[in-house]
Amino acid sequence: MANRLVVENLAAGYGAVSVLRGVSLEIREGELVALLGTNGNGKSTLLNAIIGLVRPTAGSVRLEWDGETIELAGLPAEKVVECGIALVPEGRRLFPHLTVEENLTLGGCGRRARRNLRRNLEFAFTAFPVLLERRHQPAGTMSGGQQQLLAIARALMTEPRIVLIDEPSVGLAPVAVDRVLSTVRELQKNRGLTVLMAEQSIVQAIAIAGRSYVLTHGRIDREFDQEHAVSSSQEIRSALLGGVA
Amino acid sequence: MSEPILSVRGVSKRFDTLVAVADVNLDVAHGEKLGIIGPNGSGKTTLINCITGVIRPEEGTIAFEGVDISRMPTYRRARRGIARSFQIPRPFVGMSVLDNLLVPLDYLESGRREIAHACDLLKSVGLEPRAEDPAESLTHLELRKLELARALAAEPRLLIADEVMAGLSEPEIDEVLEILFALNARGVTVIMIEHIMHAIMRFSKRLLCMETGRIIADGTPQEVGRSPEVQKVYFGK
Repeated sequence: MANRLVVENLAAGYGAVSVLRGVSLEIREGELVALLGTNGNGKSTLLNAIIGLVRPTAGSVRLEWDGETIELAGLPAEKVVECGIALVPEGRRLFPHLTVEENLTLGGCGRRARRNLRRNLEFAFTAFPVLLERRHQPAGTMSGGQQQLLAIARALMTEPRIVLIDEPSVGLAPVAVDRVLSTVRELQKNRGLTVLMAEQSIVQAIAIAGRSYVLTHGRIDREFDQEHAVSSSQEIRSALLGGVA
Repeated sequence: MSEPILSVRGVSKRFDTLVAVADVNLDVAHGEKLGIIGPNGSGKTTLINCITGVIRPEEGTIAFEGVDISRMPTYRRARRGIARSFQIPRPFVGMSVLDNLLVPLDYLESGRREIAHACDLLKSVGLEPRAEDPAESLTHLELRKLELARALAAEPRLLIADEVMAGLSEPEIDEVLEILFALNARGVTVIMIEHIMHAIMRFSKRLLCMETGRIIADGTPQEVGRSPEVQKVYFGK
């Protein structure tokens, strides 16, 4: 059986406010999958529900990996991370006064990855040379694009099987967006990283994603492979703008 | 063209160095169904706060039905006929649904603290059967309806609905839209802010898109949805 993460009929929200109303999707090992949607449609809630920061009210999040099946729905975030899922949160959430290396180290000191801390740090500096140059610099003094790369590298310090990346392009200049997204693509292509990435910059996202899901109003509206996503760009825009674009 | 119900002229609002609303000009006609979209932080709610008087813009004037209201406090604007609902309903817990409506009625100039009037308001949003129940027993949809009823207590001629549909299911959205359509048919001008695109596209006859404090598109929902500037704001390149 292929390694994958399967989300089925997932529902979640905040108090009486329901946000996800039956989301089903899957991410297979080695894939880069884009989750497309405008503000307020549930992208972050979905990623947070997978990682355990938001508790699902129904449905399942199943990790099928190496012949083992683990139900993640209902587990606290620290347990989900130990199962091999990592989140790069929206807005990066770095420790701005700590150095690059300290931020990375904090990412890598969970139970699962701690014993390989040194190796993981070396990997981060190899995969992200700019972080090696700036290893002793406070994270908050770097550019937005560099901080986003650091946030991704910090997630990789947990030795994840799957990385969830929440809107890596937010607040970045266009040239930095290109740089961050091409780094994500390269990690997937050359280092076998499995990624579920929420994005609003649909042109750039579908250019690198093998498959794309369109999320509107808490449900998966449609799914495209890369070829069809690119040729259906207009249809995706229209779906995201309520059918009028 | 007849005089607009609302006329916003050169309004700017800064928070420190951030320009939240930048020289906005906007005329809203009597009876319009106007939608405002835009990404988080684009200035939609700040503009609404300027119109309702919750915050004072540094520059510009706002006229309602031909009267300059720029210096009026919020309650006087409400009495003149501007009402809004809030993104997060905050009813008075420990009080019944009906009592929740009698509170705003108390503060009206007309002083029409009549139970019959409160019941009419509840009926207009479909909450009449819940009149005697405590506010905290309401479902999320019912809370939204109560929020609308409270905004309607002042018999506004302009209603600003700020994300009244967030967190609702499809059939619930249909219900709220129906209430808003009915109000509009009775002559209430409605400005809607909403992230649920299909809902705001369905409701609005005219749509604005804001970005970094400016109105970057103004037209029919189709025109705005197809505007390259709007697509750039929402989708990147």
